[in-house]
Amino acid sequence: MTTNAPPPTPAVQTFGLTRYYGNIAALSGLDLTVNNGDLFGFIGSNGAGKTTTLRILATFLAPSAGRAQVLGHDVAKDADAVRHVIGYMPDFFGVYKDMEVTEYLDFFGACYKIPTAQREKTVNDVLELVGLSEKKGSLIGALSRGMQQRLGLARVLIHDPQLLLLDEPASGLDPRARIEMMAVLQELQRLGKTIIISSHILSELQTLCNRVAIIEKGKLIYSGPVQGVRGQMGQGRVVWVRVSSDTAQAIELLRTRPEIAEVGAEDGEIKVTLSSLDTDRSIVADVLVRGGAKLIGLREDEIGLEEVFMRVTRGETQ
Amino acid sequence: MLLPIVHRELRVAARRRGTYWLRFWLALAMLGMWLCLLRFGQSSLPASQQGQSLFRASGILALGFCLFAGAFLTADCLSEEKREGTMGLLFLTELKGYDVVLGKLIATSVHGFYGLLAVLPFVGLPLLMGSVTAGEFWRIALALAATLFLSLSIGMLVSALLLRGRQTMTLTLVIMSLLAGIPPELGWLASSWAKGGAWRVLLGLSPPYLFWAGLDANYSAPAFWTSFCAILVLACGALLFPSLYAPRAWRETGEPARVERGRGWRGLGLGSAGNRLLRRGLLDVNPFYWLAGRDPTPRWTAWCLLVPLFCVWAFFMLASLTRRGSSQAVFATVSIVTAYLMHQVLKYLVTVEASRRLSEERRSGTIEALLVTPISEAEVIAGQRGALRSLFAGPAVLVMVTSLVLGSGPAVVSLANGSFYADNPLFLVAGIGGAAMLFFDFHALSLVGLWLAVKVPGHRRAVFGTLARVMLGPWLAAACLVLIRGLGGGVAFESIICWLGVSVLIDLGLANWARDELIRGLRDHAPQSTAPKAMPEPGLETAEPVTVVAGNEPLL
Repeated sequence: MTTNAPPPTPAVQTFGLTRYYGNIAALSGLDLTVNNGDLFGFIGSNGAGKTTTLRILATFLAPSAGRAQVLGHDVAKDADAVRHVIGYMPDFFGVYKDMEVTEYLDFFGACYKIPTAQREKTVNDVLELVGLSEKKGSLIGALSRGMQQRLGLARVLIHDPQLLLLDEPASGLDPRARIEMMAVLQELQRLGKTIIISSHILSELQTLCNRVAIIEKGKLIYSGPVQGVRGQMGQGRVVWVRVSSDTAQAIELLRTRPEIAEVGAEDGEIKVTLSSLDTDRSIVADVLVRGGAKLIGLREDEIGLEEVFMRVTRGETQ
Repeated sequence: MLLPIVHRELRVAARRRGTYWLRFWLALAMLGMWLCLLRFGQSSLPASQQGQSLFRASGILALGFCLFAGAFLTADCLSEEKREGTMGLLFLTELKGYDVVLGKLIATSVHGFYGLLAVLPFVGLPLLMGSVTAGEFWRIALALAATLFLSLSIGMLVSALLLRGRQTMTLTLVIMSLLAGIPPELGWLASSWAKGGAWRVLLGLSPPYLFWAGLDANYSAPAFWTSFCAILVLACGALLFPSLYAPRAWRETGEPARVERGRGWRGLGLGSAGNRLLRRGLLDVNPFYWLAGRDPTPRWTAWCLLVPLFCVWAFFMLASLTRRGSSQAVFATVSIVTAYLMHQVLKYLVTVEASRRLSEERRSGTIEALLVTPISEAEVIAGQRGALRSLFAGPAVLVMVTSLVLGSGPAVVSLANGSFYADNPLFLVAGIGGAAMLFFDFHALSLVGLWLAVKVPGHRRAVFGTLARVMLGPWLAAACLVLIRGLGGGVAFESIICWLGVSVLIDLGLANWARDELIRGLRDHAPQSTAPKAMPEPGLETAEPVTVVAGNEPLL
């Protein structure tokens, strides 16, 4: 006997989410789903609607139309419950410069109603996690920008939220601080958190995120796994081949196979477009070797998130 | 280009709606007050005396505006640039100190001088009644302009020296109040002890004296022009210092170093580690209470300002109760004015503090981190009000005691002497009413200040808006009452009762309105300062974005 268990509630679901500023639509009918445990990259030009979406999810803005659910709670009707389960780090956030690091976290712990006895341990734990244990007694104003950013992340984690909404968490950080921040985020994902991160540093999102959404003019234009984006754009996988024997003969050999959609020579290499995303690229090597061609190189064309972004967007903002 | 920064600042000012609205509201307020004076003034007086009384009344109100304009217009202009780190950018160019200081002064003075220009026609209306001479009008206009210039210059001076907006506003107000009040008192004391004209030099530094000397009844050319020149010299001196100091003031040794340097002061202000540990218990009661009340500076500021005033008041109060003869009225007047000043100082400090926390949170961007927590609007309100209570309870008790003693003192003394003065009930009502008003005003100021901190950009605007809403009505009413009826027995008992009643109603109404708005709109309005602002004009048609079918996602 099989049981029909209900599918798990997505971490975030929006249905026709729309937000107007005056008569300008910052968001137009955004339908978005983020699954539990995702490290979800949210990409778009400046003014595309990323921050507006995150602010609606963080209960700061009421949607003009449509609705959004966070871990099953409606952001408009059940805002208080949403605040308990999310951690939101805005793109620009200030800190109380005259507070000590532990005072700062203690204060936010109290705001989340964490009992005093538990707060001290929690503060130590989150400081350990973000690598600021040694700065416990420092004044926040004396910390570097990278450290303040990490402190912001510690503040977001103080109440152990299930969902993190991070708006440009790495902006303004030097390369080392950025890499450290990304490492912390990966650790958080490993701990089971769902993370939505908006960023302009697409190369980092590509390696960090398992899913991305691209938004432009307030509309979702792509949402799904990074790897699947080329197929979604109607383009097959491309394999580049180099042979030391007759190139024309190699091309003829490859054209005989139905799994290969297109073959052509470019700059001394053979460009092979596979007809399906599921096609195993080893078929190319197999055909050539069996046909007697001397294969000296084979590489698959990697499509970067930056390239995807440039292709699917037109740099338009609201 | 001559003074290039003026060009930049005037462009900015021209884009602000406030530039135009300030003129409009000032002119409207002056018109309303003028009509009140005309309607409720002493109609039994001949037209010429009525005109003179109106001229003085509107002139004194305009003088009040000019005296304190600097606190709201220039006091934070250089300090703000220093805080935002933009001062250095100005001095990295070819600009000199005087470029920046004069540029800022002229740009920020536009509001003040427009305001003065808006009210001057109303001040001059009695010219048409034939009760004021052209010379008198122009002297008063000059006195007002000189006072405004002095106030703006003092604001610039303070702004160059200090960093925080709250400090600059308060210090400017204190300096202008001292300039207005201390020279006449010193001059008066000096004239009682030492005969001769030397004391006039002291008097001349006071803008109210310049105003007084400009009136036909008191006019003497040497006194007026000496005072006028003294004030101009003082104002120019106040401008000279920031011109020399500003190019050096912006160079900082770096934020972390500055913060670390401030650690010692912080320890002094926030108490010992043990004290802070004790305060930590408040986090479990109300975290916002802990946050809003952790800086005790406002308490010390209140004590520093009120204790000297209390001493002055106590001296003159005792003197008025023990002396007899013509000097008794002078002593009584000074004690009443000083007690009134204590009330206003405390209310001003409460207003500044009520709106400071959330204004700073909005400016620094910490508000979003705070409001994304489950902290409720009611907790924020209760925390802020609790912090105000803990900061100002002591000073408020001092002011209340002052009021009650002022009210009951004459009655107690007259009872002891076995006599009865007609003014005793009036003093009693004014004293008890003043003490009660402190409570009602605190109630309104704390809530309206908190709401405007959320609603309007900038701390100065929040303070000014709160004072204008809560205090301006009663202030104008009090000023009109005093100007129409005089301070003596002419003040009608019913008028005082009516004034108190109206003030209580205004306070309760505004407090309820602000509380409702806070409960309803704190989270909607507070983070708007960091919300997306720049939106292109609607109607710019752009192509639809490329739509991509996305795996298991809905097709757009």
